[in-house]
Amino acid sequence: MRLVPLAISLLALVGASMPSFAEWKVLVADEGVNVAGKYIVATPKAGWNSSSARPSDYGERWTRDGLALNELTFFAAIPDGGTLYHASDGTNQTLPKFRSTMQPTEIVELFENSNRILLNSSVFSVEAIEPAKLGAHDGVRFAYSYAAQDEGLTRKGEGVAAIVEGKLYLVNFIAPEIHYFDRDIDEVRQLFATLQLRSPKTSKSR
Amino acid sequence: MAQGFGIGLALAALLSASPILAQSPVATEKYAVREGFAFPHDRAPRILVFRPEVKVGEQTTAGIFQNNAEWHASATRELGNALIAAGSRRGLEMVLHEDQAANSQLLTEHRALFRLVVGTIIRHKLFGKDPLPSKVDSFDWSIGRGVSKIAPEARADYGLFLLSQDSFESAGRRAAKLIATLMGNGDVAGTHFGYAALVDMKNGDIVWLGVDLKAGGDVRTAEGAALRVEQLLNGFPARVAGKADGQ
Repeated sequence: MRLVPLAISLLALVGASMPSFAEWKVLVADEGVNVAGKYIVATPKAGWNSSSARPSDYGERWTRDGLALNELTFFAAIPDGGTLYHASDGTNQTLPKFRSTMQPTEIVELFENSNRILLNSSVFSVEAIEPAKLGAHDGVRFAYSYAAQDEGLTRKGEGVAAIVEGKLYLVNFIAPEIHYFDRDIDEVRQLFATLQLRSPKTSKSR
Repeated sequence: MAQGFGIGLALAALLSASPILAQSPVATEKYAVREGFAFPHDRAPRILVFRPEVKVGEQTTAGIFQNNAEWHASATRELGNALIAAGSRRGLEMVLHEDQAANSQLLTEHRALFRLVVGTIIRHKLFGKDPLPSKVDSFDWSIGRGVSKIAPEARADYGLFLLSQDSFESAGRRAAKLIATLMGNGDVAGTHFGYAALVDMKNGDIVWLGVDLKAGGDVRTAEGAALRVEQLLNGFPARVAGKADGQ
C-alpha cells in the first residue's frame, strides 16, 4: 500500500518546473531585441515568447512551446556577489555567488550548483566544456543533462558564458532530450553566435 | 530553470484565484484540434490504443491519496475496453497496444514527455491564465517522430492515450466533511480528472486533446468507464466529417 500526496497528480498535470504565473509577449522574428536589462541584443527566429517572470534581477526567460518544453535564459551583467537566480522559496540552501575572478570552469560550476539547488536534484551532469565566444568576448561553452524528480525524462542543456568588465553574462537553452532539444538546438546555437553584449557603462538604465 | 510550485499555485494557475472570475462558472472541460486535421476519407484509420494511465484510490480523512491495486486493475481494464468500444462506434479500427520489453523504455519516455506536453497545453492553451501569444491562434504541440518507433508493427495511423486520476473519499473523510459542512466550513470533494489525446504516429503531432478537470463516471465499473471515456472524447474528430473544428 502506498500513500501519495494528492498534490503530486495536479503538479504532474500542469508541469512542476514552471513559475506559477507570467505574462508573455511574442517576439518579432528576425529583429534585434534588447534582453535582460538591455545588456544583450538577440535576434530570434519566429515563435518565441518572453516572460514577465524573471529568474533574477539580471535575467530573462523565453519559450516557444512552454517553459517545461523549451527555455532560453539570458543573464546579463551579474556583478560580484550576485546570484544567477532568485533564492528559492523551497530551500534553505544559499545559492552560490558569482565572483569576477572566476575561471571558466568555475562559472560552469556556479551554473551547475545553482541549478542543483533549485531543482533539488543530484542527477545533473556536465558533459562538455570548451572555449567559445559570447558576442566578441572570450568565454566558455558547456553542455549538460539532468533528470528532474518525478518527471521520468531527461533534459539536455547548452550554455555559453563570459565575464565582461568584471560582470557575468550567461545564456542557456534547456529542453527535453526527446524531440525538443534536437529540434531547436541548431537555431539556438545560431542565436547565441549572433548575440551582442552591451556593457552597463555604455548602456543607459536597466 | 524555474523552481517548482505548490498545490495552491497549481490550482490557481489552472482555475484562477481571481475574485472576479471566481464568481462566474469556470469551465472544467475543454478540447482542442490541430488546425486542418481530418481523418482520411477513403479508409478507416487505424488507432493504436495505449494502456490507459490510471491512478485510482481513496482519499483519507487527512486528505492523503492511498492507491488501491484492485481498483487500479479494474479501472485500467474497463477504460481500455471503453476506448476500444467508443472508437469502434465511430468507425475507427481500434487496436490495443501490448507492451513489449523491446520498446517499453521508449514508450515510458514518450509517456513522460506526453504528460509534460499536455500539462503545458492545459496551462498555456486550455485552462491557464497565461497563454503564449505565439500559440493563441494555433494548436501545434508534438511529442516528436520518435513515436513511430514505439510500435511500427502495429501499422497504426494514430495513437490514443488516456490518463485518468480518481480519488474516492473514504468513509472517515465523508464523515469529516459532513461535520465540517454542519459547522459551516466547505470542503473539497474527491478528485476526478483525466485527459485523452490522439497522436499522429508518423510525426508525434497531437491532433486532438480532450481534458476534463472534474470528470464523472466511476471508472472502476464498465458503465462508469464508458461514461468517463465519452466525456473525455468530447470534441473527438469525426471520421468523414471534413475539417475538424478547433477548440
